[in-house]
Amino acid sequence: MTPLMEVRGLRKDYRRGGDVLRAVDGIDLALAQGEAVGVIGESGSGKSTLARCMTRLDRPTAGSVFFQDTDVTGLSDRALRSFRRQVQPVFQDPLTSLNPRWNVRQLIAEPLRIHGEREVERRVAEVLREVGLGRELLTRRPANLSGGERQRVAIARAIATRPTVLILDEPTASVDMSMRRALLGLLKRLRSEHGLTYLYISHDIRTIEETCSRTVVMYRGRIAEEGPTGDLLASPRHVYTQVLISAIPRAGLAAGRPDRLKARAEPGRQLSLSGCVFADRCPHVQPECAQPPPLIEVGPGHRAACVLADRGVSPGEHS
Amino acid sequence: MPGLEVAGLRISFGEREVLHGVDLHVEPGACAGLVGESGSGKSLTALASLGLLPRGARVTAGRILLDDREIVTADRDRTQKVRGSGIAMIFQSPRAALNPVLRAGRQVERILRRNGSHRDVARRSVEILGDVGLLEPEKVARLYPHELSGGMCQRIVIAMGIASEPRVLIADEPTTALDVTVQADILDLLEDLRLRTGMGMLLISHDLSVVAERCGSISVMWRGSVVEDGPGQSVITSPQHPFTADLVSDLAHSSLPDVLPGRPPPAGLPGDPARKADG
Amino acid sequence: MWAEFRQHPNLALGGILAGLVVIVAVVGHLAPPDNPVAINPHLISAPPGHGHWFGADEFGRDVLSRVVYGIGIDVVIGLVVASLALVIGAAVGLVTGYLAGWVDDIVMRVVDIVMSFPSFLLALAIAVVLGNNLRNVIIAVTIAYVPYILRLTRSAVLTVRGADYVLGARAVGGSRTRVMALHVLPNAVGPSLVQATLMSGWAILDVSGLSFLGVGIQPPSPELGVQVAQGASYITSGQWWMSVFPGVAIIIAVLAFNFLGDYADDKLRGQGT
Repeated sequence: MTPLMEVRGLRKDYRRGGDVLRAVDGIDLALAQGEAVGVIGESGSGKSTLARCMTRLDRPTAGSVFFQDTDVTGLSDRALRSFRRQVQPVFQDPLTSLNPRWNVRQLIAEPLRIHGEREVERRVAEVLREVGLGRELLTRRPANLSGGERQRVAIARAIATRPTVLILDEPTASVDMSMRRALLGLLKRLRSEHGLTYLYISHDIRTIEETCSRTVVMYRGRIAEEGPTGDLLASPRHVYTQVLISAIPRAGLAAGRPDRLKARAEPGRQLSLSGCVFADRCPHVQPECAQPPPLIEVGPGHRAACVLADRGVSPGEHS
Repeated sequence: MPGLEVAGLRISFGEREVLHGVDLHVEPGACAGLVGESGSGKSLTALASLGLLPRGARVTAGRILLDDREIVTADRDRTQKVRGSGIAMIFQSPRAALNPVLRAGRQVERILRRNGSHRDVARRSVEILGDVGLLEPEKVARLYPHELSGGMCQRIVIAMGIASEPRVLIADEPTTALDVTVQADILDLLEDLRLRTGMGMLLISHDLSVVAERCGSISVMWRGSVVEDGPGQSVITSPQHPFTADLVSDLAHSSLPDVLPGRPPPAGLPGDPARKADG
Repeated sequence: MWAEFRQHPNLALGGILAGLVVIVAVVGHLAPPDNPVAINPHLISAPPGHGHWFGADEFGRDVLSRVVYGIGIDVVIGLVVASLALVIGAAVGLVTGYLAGWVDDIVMRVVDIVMSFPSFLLALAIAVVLGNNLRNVIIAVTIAYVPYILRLTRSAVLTVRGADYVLGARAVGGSRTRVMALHVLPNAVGPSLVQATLMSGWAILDVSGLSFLGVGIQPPSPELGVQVAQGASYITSGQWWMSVFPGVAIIIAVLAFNFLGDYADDKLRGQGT
């Protein structure tokens, strides 16, 4: 079955003065209809750039973006109209992603007006109800809402045109912990009620765990590992994924983490362009890592781009 | 009591009381955790300890003591003398805490000078930068903040914090703006420094797992009051206050393995230290 | 309303002054106490006294009437120049800042060239070339002011266009025009509005300065700068009222706009956009 949305060989370079920064370097990713895929990465991993390319807010330097079998990579603004109705981003910070001078009604109505919805007021009220907000908020501006309410408005705006795909970039990052669970619940409910497909980007593994059935781990513009979320977290095969997971703070452990797997200290600006991008910080680096890493299948749908992927012991296994 | 003690602290903004009698204790050499959401008053408590209350806020009751010496009271809540009293503080945003036009080394030197020492500051500054885990500290000392990563900046801020040889270090969300791997490194560093220098540490965060992992005792703040406190383990295993229970249930959600991944490969495989010959 | 006045003394001062100026200008234009251009031989160079509080000039014309009539001219010119400069400068600044590219480069080089001349001298040169009348003076001063508004707007646009909400507006399907007009412009035009308010006052200074030099507006127009020029030669013989009263009127008008501009600035910062 063809995926609903797909990215092939995606590459995005940014030019800063004389230097070229390769934010995304050859990413292949497919979203099946109704799936929730998580993308984990730290700063510099390229996850936000990936989101921008997938929503066509940026044009990829190379590679292609497919939506419903159509190549949308190079399309003009006008040709992208239908795409824009169906693929919507949700940004991290609603304080900056919502026009501070507009009130809630205007914000939610805007996509509807652009796409020629006939009964704007009715749809606005409908969407507002769906995200659990009251009508009294319609006249307020973002600055006069709580963090949780703001993000709900952003979500309302995103689902107003009945999209099929939501690309969420850290949607709960600027919200208090107590609100976070409510927001995640809302996102889950919306997804099941409307059959939405999610690409959920986060640095917080715990939120991804709750929402996504499949997860992709990115490092420096490339995919390090991908697979079913449970498998990937229980049995990470790429060394970077292991480093990441072992760094998550956990309550049960006593002070002092003698067996935390650590990456080697930051090397400065030297990067090896060929071979594994993690090689210069990998605690288990091998000589073979100077070559482009193989993509090794370690389980159903679970792949890691690491020479050590199928060697060594994982937790839970006994040698 | 030795260490930092906050006793019955009440703070008001004009007529509105925002801190309702907070009690807190940081023992020397120990790490005390303070958890709460934004607006709970945790940062305010920390700022009060350094006499750094924002404009319009004043201490209306209670006191703060360092090693049994009164440093903050209702009529003395904003004095210069409080800083440099043996408490240092580091904040969430490392770049905001650094002067963008001064090289890293100079910023540490300034702290050394401010605390009375004038000889050898350049050398000591580099030494301290090394203490906070920066590789090639002499090189880093010559760099400006914008040339450094977030993690490195936070290390420099920590260097500035420990340069004054504080009795207590208050860390207010020191890792919230950092990646999770960098976060773990920084928390390791803080722990290491605490054990080496015997200073007490107050770790403030909205993330209970961070605090639970690193602190022997935990205090939970909610809307200006401490609603629960006690040894870390018991707060986690049997929370009394509903807010604490809420936070704890968030922790339990995770199905992450208890055993950490990344154990070194078994003997005989590449990476095994015993196999050094093959390197 | 009153709370606003108390919190912003600038508004109070500027508002009162501006209000006064406007009232005087309107009344003075419609119903001046005496005919501002009528020559009264028996009043030649009469000092301020009963009936003629500001005295009379060398042609016997009542200075008070001329001043209140002339204030209207200057204020209107000031507002027209500022509005034109705002509209043109903001429009070009918006488009060139948002679209960037080579058009932006060319426009900015032109702006650089224009701004390398002191604005008064530039206006002077343009007015001389175009010819001495009211319309040309307005054109000349406007041309001198446009680059400042353009740069100000463009600079704000450069900041705003990177904001997430601008990206968001594109993401919901907004065309570039729509995004520019509805999202970028309202959030970028603030500083330019403040500048335009202040420019209303400076335009009065520039225009009256030009007419003082004999460029642009000519006598017998009771424009304030012309009056100052004509009365200037009589100061040394002790007949100060012919220059001083129009001069003070200019000051008051400019002050009014300065205070209003400060108030606008306060409001802008309070918004925190």
